[in-house]
Amino acid sequence: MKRLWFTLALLIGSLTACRDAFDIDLSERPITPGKADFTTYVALGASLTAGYQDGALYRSGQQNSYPAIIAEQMTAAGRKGLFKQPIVDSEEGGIVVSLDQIAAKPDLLPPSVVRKIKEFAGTSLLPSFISEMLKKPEIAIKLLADLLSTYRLRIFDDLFLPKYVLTQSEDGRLLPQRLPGPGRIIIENIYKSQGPFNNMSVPSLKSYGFTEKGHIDITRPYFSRMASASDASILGDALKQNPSFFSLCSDNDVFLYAVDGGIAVDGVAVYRKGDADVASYDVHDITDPDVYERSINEILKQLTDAGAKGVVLNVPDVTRIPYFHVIKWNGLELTAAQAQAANASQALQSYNHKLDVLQAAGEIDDAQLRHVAFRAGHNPYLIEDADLKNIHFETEIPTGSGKDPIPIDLSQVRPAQASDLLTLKAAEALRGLASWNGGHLPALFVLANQFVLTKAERKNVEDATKRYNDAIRSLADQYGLALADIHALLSRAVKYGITAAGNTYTSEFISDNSIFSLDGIHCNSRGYAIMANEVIKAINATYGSNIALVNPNDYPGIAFP
Amino acid sequence: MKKMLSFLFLTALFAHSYAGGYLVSLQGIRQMAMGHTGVGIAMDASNVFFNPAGLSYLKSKLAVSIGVSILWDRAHYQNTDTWRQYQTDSPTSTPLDCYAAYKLNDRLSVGLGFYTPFGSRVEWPEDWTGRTLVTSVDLKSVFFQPTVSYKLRDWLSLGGGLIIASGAVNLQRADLLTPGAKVQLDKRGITRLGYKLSLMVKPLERLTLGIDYRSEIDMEAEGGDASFIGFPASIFREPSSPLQTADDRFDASLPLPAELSVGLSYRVGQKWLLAGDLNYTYWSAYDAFRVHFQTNQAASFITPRNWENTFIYRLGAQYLCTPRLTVRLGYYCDQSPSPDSYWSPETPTTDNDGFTAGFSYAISKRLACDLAYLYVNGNERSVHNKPSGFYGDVYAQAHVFGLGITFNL
Repeated sequence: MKRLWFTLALLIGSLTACRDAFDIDLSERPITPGKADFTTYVALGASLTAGYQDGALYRSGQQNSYPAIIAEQMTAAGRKGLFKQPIVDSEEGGIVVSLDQIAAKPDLLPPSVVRKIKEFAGTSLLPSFISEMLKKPEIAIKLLADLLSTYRLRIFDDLFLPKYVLTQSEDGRLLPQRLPGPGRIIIENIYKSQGPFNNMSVPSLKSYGFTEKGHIDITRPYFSRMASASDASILGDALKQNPSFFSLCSDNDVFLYAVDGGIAVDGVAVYRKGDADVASYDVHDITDPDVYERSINEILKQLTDAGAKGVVLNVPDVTRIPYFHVIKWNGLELTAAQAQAANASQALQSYNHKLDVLQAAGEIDDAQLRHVAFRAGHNPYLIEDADLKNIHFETEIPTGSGKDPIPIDLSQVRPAQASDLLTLKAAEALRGLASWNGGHLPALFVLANQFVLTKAERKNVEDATKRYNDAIRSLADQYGLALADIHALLSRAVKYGITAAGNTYTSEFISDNSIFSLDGIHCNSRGYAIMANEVIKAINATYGSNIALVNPNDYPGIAFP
Repeated sequence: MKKMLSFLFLTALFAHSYAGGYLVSLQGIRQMAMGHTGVGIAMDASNVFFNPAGLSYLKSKLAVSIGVSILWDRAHYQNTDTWRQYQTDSPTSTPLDCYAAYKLNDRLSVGLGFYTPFGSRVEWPEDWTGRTLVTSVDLKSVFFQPTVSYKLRDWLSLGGGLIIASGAVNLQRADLLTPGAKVQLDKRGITRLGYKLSLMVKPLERLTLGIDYRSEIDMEAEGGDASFIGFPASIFREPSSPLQTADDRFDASLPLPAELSVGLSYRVGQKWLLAGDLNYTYWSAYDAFRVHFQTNQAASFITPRNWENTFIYRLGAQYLCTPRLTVRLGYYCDQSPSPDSYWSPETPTTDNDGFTAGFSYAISKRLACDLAYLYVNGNERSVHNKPSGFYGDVYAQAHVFGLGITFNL
């Protein structure tokens, strides 16, 4: 009997040894900043850092910006106070095109824009043109929209339009479409009422723009909302807050070049390698890598001199975003009859003939490359390639009974190749063309330069991206800062997907598993959460802090109607 | 009796999983108190489950055992990156087992069993980390088993039974498409057949050996209801969408694995009985969880499970304190069949240590009441399901109280 009691005692003893808790209970683990100090965190960047998504800056998008997510997680590791962002007062986004503002200060417009408007309005001078527009606002909006699309005025294009939402067409297809009408955000300075701002990110900002003073004008509307003074600089306003920690992401220097297919406001954009004269840059030009390095160095130097520690994000490979992978280069489907008719058309016959003549005369050597012959099935789209020699070949396509023929310019045209990337905006253009043409695409049309990132243009993008990232790596090293490899993160998402608690996130366009928003360029909130995790991991690894990550699934994805 | 049976049926549907996999070891209150040993013991009518061959060694003409267990269990999870913790909040359940054996003559006995060897009821919080994998599982199975036992020699008997397995499954998981969206798979009234074969040997007067084999039963759910709840209607109209209807049918199957058990028991003096069992469960049958949607075919999925066969080691002892009071103790150790890299929260399995104790009190010569207590310590493990990206630390605990009556005529 004694033995029995002994055994019982042993059993009860071993039972109580089974503690009802984890070996290391993470909920009780102290969160430490390590060697960093997160008291005041300031984020610097462009649209990606501002929380831009669905082609606009809007309230809930900003609230889920990656700096906002990081800041929330940093709070347990010693961050103090509210993390203030210049939140816009709209869920729809887009800036109200303030005609009053333009009328009052026409000199705020870039000269090239003024020139285009003058061309458009004929002999009338700008102020009178604008006062005409003000009298008829509906016509003015239409006119501006035409101006935008005709003259590719980049600054108006994205910033001034409300966000994309997913809409269902009659045949059931879910397509992203911008909300109708003009933008919703009235630009007014909110520094006095709400500032200073911890998220100092300004959409469309370039590396050399952080230190530039002023720019409280319509070319940088989002900075004019948050600037402390009319001669303030973004870096200056950041430094004023005595940041103990910062993040810096300057991803915009190669970005507009890529998404607008290498066009400029005035013609063709250029990779400004070796050209430090930033005043002469078009907004689409690729920044000189030396300028990029000097600009980043200046920012990091000033911030670290002021005692801040921080994290630098490198530049993702913009050619991997879904924006370039929705439309395939050879997506033009033709029947045998359509192909035959196009091949037999006067326009094509004379075009192909002219190529042969020019080649024989030694004036061009790429007739083969430009030669157009359609066949049944998948055909490459015809694209405008500004790197081709201009052969001045404009012709007309007859549209039949009584209608005017359509002019077509084949001066710098070739069939697309697998290495050419067509933009998401080409998809919109193709849809428009098809509906105009009675539901299907015609055979003979040209996708303009702005819709195509050619192989040569991709090379420029790749070269600049690589040089920027080399600079970022060595500068992060030099200043002892954390480096978040967003470039590798995007590659991983594209190649393998990124898993998060049962979900695999990819770079697919329009999917509940996508990290991208409806513009195909910027992340959605889940993508920003994944970015935030990558940045937090880099901070933890460098400074020995242990900021907790977030679950990307807890953030909103694309909104389905 | 009909009413009684249907009541029993309903009660038995609520079976939990706390053992490795979704195997439940609460099939006899006396055996449960002895670490759920019993393959090498001719104990009572619950031999229908443990070793049917033992029925013909039972002394009474009619033996009946009825047991009910009250089961409380909880699995705990913590994410090692977000540091968030969640625990299952599964309702208390009461699995029930009934056995009867009748001695036709000295050699031949027949028996009938009604028991719930497999089951799982897991409810994770709606907002928990792994919600896209599972929020709720309710897996039920009831085995109905007519049994015969034939004594070839005084030292050798054979047994076998036909298993009529009936099952139901309900699985829910959240979908990230839109807040509140979830997918529910539901199938009731699955019926499949299986069998049981066993052997009992008494080489020495004090020593009993047993072998028992239960066949695999594949619970195929064909044409179950698949509901896509709370999804926006637009998604079903999009031509390229994998989802074309909110009310679909699904095909899936879940193997209830075969099990080979060997056991022995040895009498020490007049009062002690020592027992040891070894179960080998063929969990490798569960290589993947496959769900095929009949309309939303593109949404069909296969998630690898790659479960491995496991051993369960059981030890038990019984001590006759007084002619009326018998005390029991036991221990078992039960491996998790799920590898760390394929672990899934549908069946939150851990390596378990089970500690058991209990007693029987003979109210009369014919009637005894049995009590048992089981504590299961599901050892903490670190899991990382690579294909789904689910990872973290997990441990589990369960408390079970068993109450039974044994009737011998």
